[in-house]
Amino acid sequence: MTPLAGRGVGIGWRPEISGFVAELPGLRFVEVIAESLPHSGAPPEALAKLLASGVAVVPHGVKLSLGGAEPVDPHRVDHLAQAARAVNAPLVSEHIAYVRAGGVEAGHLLPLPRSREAVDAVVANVARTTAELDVPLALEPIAALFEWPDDELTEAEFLTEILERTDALLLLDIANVYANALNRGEDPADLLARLPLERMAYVHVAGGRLHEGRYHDTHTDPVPGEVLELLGELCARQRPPAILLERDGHYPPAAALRAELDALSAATGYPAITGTPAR
Amino acid sequence: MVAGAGVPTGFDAGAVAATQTALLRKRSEDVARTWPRLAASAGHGQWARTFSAWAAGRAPQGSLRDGWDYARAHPPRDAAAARELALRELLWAYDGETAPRPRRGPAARLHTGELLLRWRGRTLTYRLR
Amino acid sequence: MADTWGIPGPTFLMLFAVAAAVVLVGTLIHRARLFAGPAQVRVDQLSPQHTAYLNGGAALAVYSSLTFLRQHQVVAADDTGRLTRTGGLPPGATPLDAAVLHAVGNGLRTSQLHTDRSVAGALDAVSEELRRGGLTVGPDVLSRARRGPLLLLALFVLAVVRIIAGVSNDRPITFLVLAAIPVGIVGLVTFLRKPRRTKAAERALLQAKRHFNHLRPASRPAWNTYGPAQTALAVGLFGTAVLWAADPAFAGESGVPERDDTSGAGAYGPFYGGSDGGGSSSGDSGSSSSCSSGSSCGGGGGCGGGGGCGG
Repeated sequence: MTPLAGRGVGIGWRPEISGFVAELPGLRFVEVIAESLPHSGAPPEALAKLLASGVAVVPHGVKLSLGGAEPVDPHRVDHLAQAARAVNAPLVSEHIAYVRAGGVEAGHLLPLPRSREAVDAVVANVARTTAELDVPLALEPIAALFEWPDDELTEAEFLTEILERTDALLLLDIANVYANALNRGEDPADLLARLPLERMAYVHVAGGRLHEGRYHDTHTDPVPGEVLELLGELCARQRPPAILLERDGHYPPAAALRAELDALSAATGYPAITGTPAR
Repeated sequence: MVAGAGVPTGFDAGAVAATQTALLRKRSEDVARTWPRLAASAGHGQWARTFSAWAAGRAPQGSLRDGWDYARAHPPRDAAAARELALRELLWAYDGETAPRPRRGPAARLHTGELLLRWRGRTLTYRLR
Repeated sequence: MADTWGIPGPTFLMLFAVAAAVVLVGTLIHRARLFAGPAQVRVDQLSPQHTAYLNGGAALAVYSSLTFLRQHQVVAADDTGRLTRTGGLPPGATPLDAAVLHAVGNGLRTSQLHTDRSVAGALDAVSEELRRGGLTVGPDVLSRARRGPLLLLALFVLAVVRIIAGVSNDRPITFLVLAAIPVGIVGLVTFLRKPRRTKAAERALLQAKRHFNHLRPASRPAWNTYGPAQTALAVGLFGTAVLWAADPAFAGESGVPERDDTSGAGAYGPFYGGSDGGGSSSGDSGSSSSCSSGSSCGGGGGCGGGGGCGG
């Protein structure tokens, strides 16, 4: 039984759109940037209201740097654990990536070399993290425009090995799968076929855009039709327990945002959460 | 990569360059959120380009410091941006090298016909004209 | 020595105290009833402009309307600060919106909008609706509310006359002075106090600010998502800082003053009376403090915006 079973379609909770999120009648779960939650004390009032109405809140870390060569910062791990407790989270999630190295903050999720050494580093950091957590951890592979030279493992091997050795769940970002495949000239279905999809905790969907021949996973553009199609393909193989729309800026009018949520419902067969009758 | 070092051998230079551009764009958007007037003073749709040109090769220091360093390097002529900078300078002590620290105690400044007061860590403003 | 006016001091003091107490209690009850307003005002009964008028007066109502029109992209400002009309009246527009758009079409500046005949007329209508709805205190209610304070002041004058007479009569007056002073003060304060809003309106405003907390500029609301009507409402509740956040270029060019979260009448400037020069607290402290610790800034958008991101 996965923690988010039957939660259906959710949306990334951001203060900027909290009034919009609060008005979604069928909402069963949201994700919140873990670093934006206070270290102690009650969560923001708007989140507390969602919690009170039975909406599950999943803290989503973006700054832990699980893929860093150095051990994860214990303060950041502690914060993630506190955040999970504060919102009574069924699970938390983080990225297989690094965001800082040698004291310099990239302010961004950067890809790891797909080497045995990197797998060992991630596995060690995940172990340090889960030791402090009361709830399961889901790991999210990132989208990357560049790759390290001389990768020893394929992406599927790399991810599968990390998941097997850590017992972590998989947070699959279907837009990242699309972006990486497009930018590498591969078929996204190949990766889907090789990933341990039964380990999926939930799925991310986000928008992006083509810029100078490369697909950028911006989170500030509409979700392309191709990504929705790929989501349909994923569901044909294995329907994820829950699915979440991520939007991080250039927020569109409410009607457009509702239409994207409805498109996720249509692609996955989960009930519409916007109150608009299914077509 | 963020600090502007050269591309190591073996990497796809075009892909790395695209990542750098994307990183700068994201950084400029973060700074625009913390320094909305400064970003607006660059002109409609110009901020990402203007800021990126300056920030390329500088290690990111977080949006507060990045915007501050930019504003000190390009003192804003736009009234709203100058006011935004004056309000920040009133509340925070920033030496350009380390993280800004909140200033303590009350203070008053006159900024283009407006009285800016710091009181209990907040600003109060009074238009004098 | 005869008693002043033939009434012994203790008797007069007693009569004065009883009369003052009766009038005082009566006045307070009467005023509380007059200023109470309707028992129930629902948040969603108020339009953005009514809210703005209630919160910041006519000027804020104009800014709220201007925000609604700007968010619908039907007004613009050139760099000399003159407003121009760039489209027709959007759906959902109120009579005030129509009047403001008409005035914009006549090439007025923001500071001149209220001088336009139709804008002034529409503002009067909003004001009248608020008064009829029991949300603002009209002149008739105010003059009725002053009857009690006038009686108190009359009692005070009577006491003063008696004190003067007592002094010339060489009688002790200390207790009467002590009794008269509070009566005079309460009479004067209640006479001069002119509440603009009824208690019901204060409650409704407070309730609306809580209900629409997500529209506070501090949480950098996605105005595009909330739409023109809610942005106009946010101006009404939290001040013109909202327009400055939503469209800084337009706000600057059109010369809209930047004010955050007004709490009283008259804070919005030279026109429509009220005391000017009210302070405003700039919402600076919250947003930047979270960014102070090195690079841990921007909890909201941890991801997105770039190629290497995979949030």
